[in-house]
Amino acid sequence: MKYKIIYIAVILLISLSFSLKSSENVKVTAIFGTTEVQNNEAVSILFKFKIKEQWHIYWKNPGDFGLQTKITLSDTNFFKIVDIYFKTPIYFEDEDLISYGYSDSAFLLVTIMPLKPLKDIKYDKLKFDVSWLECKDRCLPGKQKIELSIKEAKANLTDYLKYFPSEQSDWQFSAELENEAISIRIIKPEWYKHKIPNVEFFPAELGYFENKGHKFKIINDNEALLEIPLDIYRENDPNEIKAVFKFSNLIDKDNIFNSIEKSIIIKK
Amino acid sequence: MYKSIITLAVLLFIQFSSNAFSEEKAKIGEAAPNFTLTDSYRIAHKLSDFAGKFVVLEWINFDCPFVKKHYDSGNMQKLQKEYTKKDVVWLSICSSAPGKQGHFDNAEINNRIKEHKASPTAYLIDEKGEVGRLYSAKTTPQMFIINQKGVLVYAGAIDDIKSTDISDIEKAKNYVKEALNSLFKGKEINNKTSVPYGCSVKY
Repeated sequence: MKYKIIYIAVILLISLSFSLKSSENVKVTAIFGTTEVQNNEAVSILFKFKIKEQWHIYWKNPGDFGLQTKITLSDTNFFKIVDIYFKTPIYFEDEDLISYGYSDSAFLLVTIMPLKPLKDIKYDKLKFDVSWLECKDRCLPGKQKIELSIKEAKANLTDYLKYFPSEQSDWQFSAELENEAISIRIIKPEWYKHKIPNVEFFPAELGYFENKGHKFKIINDNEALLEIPLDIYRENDPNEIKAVFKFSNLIDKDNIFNSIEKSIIIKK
Repeated sequence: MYKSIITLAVLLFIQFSSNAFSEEKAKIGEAAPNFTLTDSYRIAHKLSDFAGKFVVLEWINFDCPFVKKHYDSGNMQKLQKEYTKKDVVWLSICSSAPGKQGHFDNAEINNRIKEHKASPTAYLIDEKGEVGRLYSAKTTPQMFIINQKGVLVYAGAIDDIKSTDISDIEKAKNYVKEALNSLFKGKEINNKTSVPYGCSVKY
């Protein structure tokens, strides 16, 4: 009986240490964008992921395979998450499949709002649950609990804005559906005096497109075009495309963005 | 001479069209493309041999955490047991190429099946990835259902919660169960497709 109890205790200890074991390939840290919280005002928190060489994690749309990186509040009584912005991704190819995500590092910008007047809530310490899938030639689920104090530190978030897609709108985007494929056209704005740069397409939603050929073809100095076949197993035809368009070697007047996030209504 | 040229042309046309048909990719609402694969006991199985029965195709890679979720919890085995009892043919297909994750020799496959108490009708080996590509299989797991007329009626995920967490299984809507139950009742399937989630098929 005594041995049985010891045996069970050892098994429990082993399984507990296994479940608490943190990832060796991905480390997460977080920092507030402010040292003060105001009533009815959103607060930004930057989550930084340090990813071990050769490993990667996934974007909000993982692509053909993988799993979205997630951040949730452990305690939802006092604050709620309003938005999560993802760093502009890169793509990974595995034979003829494509996924979207990050190697080396990733940044997620989380916006939270107090749910009650500040006098009624505790906000010295905020706790988050972060989860992801880390992959190399194999995949492992990763989890980390993040606890941070609002008074401790402040990140200069403007330093990080260049890593996130911009929502600026003077680049023209249009999309058309024809013959089971969608063509997306981009026209550069007048202020951009250089030749249109190379553009890559990252669909923000799953299930509509075959992830084949996401590099735009340069048509002339002003326009780029991409034709993507629709997924043969899609539930329905999309009415709009939500995507990130990533520019390489963009000579931007303010040097503040390298990608644009956009919703485009599809002409049928 | 003229006749033989025409005969030859007709024969070439038939040959060409039959090849084109066999290479036609799977589509919902259309005849499921036929294939022949060998199982882990070296027995060949042809999809068309199962005509008249419901067939489930399950893309598998035992080392993928998404597959582990459904096997370590017993969820996949429960489905296999429940529906093979009802005469559904359940084919687990592994399209991992040699040397890649999920590719094992027959002895190891049979060990794993035994260890997991899995009960598919057969575990089929597709190491060239031809059948995987024919069905555009992207992830493990990924599920397909073929009706008694040989038509592909479901393609997609096993359920609606994309995670590796076993505790999500109970909360999830199981698309395969829902589709098979509708088929048995002679009803239309509500969700004919869904976006599959999981590891990449290791072609």
